[in-house]
Amino acid sequence: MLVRWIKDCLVPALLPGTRMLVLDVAKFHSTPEVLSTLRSNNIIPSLVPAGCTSLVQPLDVAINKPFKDILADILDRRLDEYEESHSINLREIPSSNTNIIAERRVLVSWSVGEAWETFNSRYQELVISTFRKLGLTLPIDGSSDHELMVKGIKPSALQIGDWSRQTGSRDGLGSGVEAEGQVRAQCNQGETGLASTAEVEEEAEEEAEEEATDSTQYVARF
Amino acid sequence: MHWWTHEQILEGGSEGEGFDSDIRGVRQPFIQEVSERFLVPITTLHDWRKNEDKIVNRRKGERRSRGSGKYCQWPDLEEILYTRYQKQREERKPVRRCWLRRQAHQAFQEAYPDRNSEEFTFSTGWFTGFLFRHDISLHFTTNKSQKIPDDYLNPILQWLQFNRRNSQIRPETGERLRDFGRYWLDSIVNMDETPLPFEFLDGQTYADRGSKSVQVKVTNSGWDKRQATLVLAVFGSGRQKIKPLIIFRGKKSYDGSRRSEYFRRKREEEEGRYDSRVCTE
Repeated sequence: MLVRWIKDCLVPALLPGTRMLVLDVAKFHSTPEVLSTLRSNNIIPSLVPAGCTSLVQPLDVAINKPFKDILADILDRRLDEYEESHSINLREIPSSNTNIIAERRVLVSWSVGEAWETFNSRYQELVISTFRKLGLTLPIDGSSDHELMVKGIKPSALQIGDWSRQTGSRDGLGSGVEAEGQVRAQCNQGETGLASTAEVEEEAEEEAEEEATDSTQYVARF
Repeated sequence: MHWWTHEQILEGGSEGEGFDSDIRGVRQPFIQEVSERFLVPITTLHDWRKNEDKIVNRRKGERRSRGSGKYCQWPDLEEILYTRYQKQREERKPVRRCWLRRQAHQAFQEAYPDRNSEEFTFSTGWFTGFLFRHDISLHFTTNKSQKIPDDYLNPILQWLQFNRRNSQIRPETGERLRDFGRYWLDSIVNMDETPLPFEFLDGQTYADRGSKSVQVKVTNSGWDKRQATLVLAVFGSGRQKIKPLIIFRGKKSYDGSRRSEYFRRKREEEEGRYDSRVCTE
């Protein structure tokens, strides 16, 4: 399903160049087929850590709720209007009645369409600010990192650091390889509840690099 | 049906206009009588009396000021309906629009037995007003909170750093600087799927605004709960370019093959009827 979605829906909608797709670590998201499809389309998967989707995945943080509120409202209204005008009950009918299921599907499709349109006209700003708060669309030099906001974490603890100067020195860590490393690490974590060795090493490496953000240190080190 | 203006009602309150001849020109009607005669709650009449100057001197067509939107057309109906709503909620039963609609039509006939039942239409406008006047809003009843790991700070920091690091341009690959490092703003996407249960609305009820935990006793009706899956993708730019995808599921059963064949045909028939703003599968 996901592979088809990437090919048919995502890729045609994207601009050329490198793209980033934020996904949660659900099992089906990290199959080899999905990863190779993403890689061949130059899409970097950014996997939300297990259990943290409600904190850092934009859809869960701020989008699903208002969208579903709108959808529930519209669906409730459409079902109700349909029931009133056709004098039938669409809600409590035997599941073998495929005609009524078909009617419901039609109504659901129109409700989702209407809800999406309403959501996009009303909440565009919310979407933009959510991506910024979660650091996905903040300037890469860290100059706007004060905008970061993750529920339950003190803003002072949210230090990403400036990664711009390490770029050249990080050869051998191509995006694809790195992303897959992250996938493996997170899958392990999800299954065992323990950080994998790979992840611990990566963490240590990151810490070392963060210390190096001071320019004198940086020069001294390399 | 006769419509009264604010002015006429205020005048009726002081001069007895619009009342039968035993009051009109004889005495000033009591506010209770005015309320009953014009179907306006007493508190509303007090408000109007207080602002009488403003209301009477208002130019024709001028918009009603804030607060006067609370004027309700069928107070008795609303009272009956609200009482039933409260009873239903006390019994922890769900309240949805169709329930309120049925009750409202009944309540209308009880409150105004002499009137033609078609005078009252359960319009979206009236319904919104009713909810607003009684401080009711739609609530999610089920709150399936996901368990957040104890140590979530580190994974989240790592994730933030991963994103930042991956946004850096890699000159060795000949990348150019875009909106955010190597990405265009329109190239940062979040996608996820969320269940759209057949009884999507079962998780919801109208309840008093601000109520903390909204409980509902659920009766299992034996439906296939997994009606559909909804796939949403959002762009960091706020410009949404991917239609929502709804994946409908046929019910799996013993005669699976024949049934799914039937569903496929059914779906093809429906094809043209679905909303083109969404993709379906």
